[in-house]
Amino acid sequence: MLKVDKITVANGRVIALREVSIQVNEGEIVTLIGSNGAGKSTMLNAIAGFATLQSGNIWLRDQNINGITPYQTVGLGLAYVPEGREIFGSMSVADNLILGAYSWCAGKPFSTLGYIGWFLRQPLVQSNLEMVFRLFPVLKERHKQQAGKLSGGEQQMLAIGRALMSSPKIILLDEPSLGLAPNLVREILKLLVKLRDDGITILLIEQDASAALKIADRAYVMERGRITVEGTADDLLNDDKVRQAYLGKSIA
Amino acid sequence: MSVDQFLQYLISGITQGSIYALVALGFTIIYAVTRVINFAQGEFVMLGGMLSFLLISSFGIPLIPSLILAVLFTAIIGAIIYLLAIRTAKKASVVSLIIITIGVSIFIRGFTREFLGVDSVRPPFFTGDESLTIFGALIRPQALWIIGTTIVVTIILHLFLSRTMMGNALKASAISTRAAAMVGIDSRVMALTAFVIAAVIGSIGGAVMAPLVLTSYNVGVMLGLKGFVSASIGGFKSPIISVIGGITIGVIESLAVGINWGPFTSSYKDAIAIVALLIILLIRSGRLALEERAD
Repeated sequence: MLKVDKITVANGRVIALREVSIQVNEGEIVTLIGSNGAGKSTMLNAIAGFATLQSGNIWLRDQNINGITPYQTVGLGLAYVPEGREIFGSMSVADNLILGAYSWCAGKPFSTLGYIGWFLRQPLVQSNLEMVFRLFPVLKERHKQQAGKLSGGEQQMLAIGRALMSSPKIILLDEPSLGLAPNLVREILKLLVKLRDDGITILLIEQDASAALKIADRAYVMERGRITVEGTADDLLNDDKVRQAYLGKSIA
Repeated sequence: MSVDQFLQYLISGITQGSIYALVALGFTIIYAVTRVINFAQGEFVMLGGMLSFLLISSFGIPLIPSLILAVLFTAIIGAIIYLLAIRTAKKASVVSLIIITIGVSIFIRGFTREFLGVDSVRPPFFTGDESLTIFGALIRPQALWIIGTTIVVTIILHLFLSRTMMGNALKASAISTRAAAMVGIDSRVMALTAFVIAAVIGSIGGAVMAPLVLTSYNVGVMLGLKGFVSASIGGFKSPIISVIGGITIGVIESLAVGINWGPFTSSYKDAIAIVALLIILLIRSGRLALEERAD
């Protein structure tokens, strides 16, 4: 599904990623573990097209996506839920979700009617909207509300819902549980498992490494821009070094 | 001033203000999406009027096709300005881009002057010039066209921004180009769209006003300034407030001429917008300083 092959990325003068390779197979939840500044977010930014590669290749379903512009990745079936959610705060919940389906309308620049068309009449948009409302009933209740006035958990649901509106094959999630109450975190992680079971591939960054490993199929540990450990989630949960470094608190 | 007179000045103020409102809408849309203040906005208005005159009077094309062609041509010029002058200077700062738009406006003005001359011209009235009487005040049919056009354009723009995917995408791009990219919105397409919409709205205004107030190659300078002041009332943020701002400036100007006392005479009419701009800048810079301190 997604293959990152020896990419090097610099943030300014600092090398954030050094010849890093990861692979995400179809139908997997893969998680990146590591302390702040290890390069996890840079990895997602690079895949989504927000960071320039100095070397290496990124393949999405056998298509090379090096140097792709961010707005093009959505059309290729890749959705990005960044840290901080980046929803459109001054727009309504429904408008945020509908924009998630923008790539269907914009993919054909000359089909002006589809582009400017009244969105509620577009059956694809409508059926995805219903799907998101089934997953997150609270978003349906508040669909007219301003997105910026939702609670943190609801905003996170909205960000994930907006990503789902594009019918993605793979979702990149950067710290979806940041700042959320523990029961909400559990709910969101449970949802990710459900999405995986529905056939969506997931690449997840999560501060709470033990929680992430519990739902993940495979995992990579990152340190200072490199992958130091990789393996199945179970392997990592039982790896002494990983337990000490990243799971210490949650095991005790 | 009698009630009849007041009404008369009010109507002429609303008419003039409607034109400012259309200019202000152009400023607001381009600023919201690109953060560029397009000082060529007044030239769109000038082109709408001059081109419709050229097509009707020199080429003998009927009114409605002339208007459509004038607006279409100006829309193409709006797209060319973005593609040639703004997009190519992509890495430039916003201030540089604003200076580029000033250069573009000088170019368009000079070009028009060279080919169409310096004379003021008057295209024919849309539906004659037999004034109607409303509550004792006279109103010319072309003024009704101007006011009506502004209302219709504002409503269509509002529906476009709130009810269509593309309008939503424009708003999203205005909020954050990064977040917009995450849902697949190409900010350059949005910027192009904004320039085309601004050119269309500006040229419609220019074509509708020309029969009533005449037009010439340099009419865009003052209209651009008034539209800029109108848009700055709402901080270039809200289309609706920009429209209200335009009409307010128009009405104040007209009433000031009506008072005809002290500084309020027709010779100082244009100074009112400048004074309004100074007041807005003073209030806004104070607020900006406060916001900075809050950060």
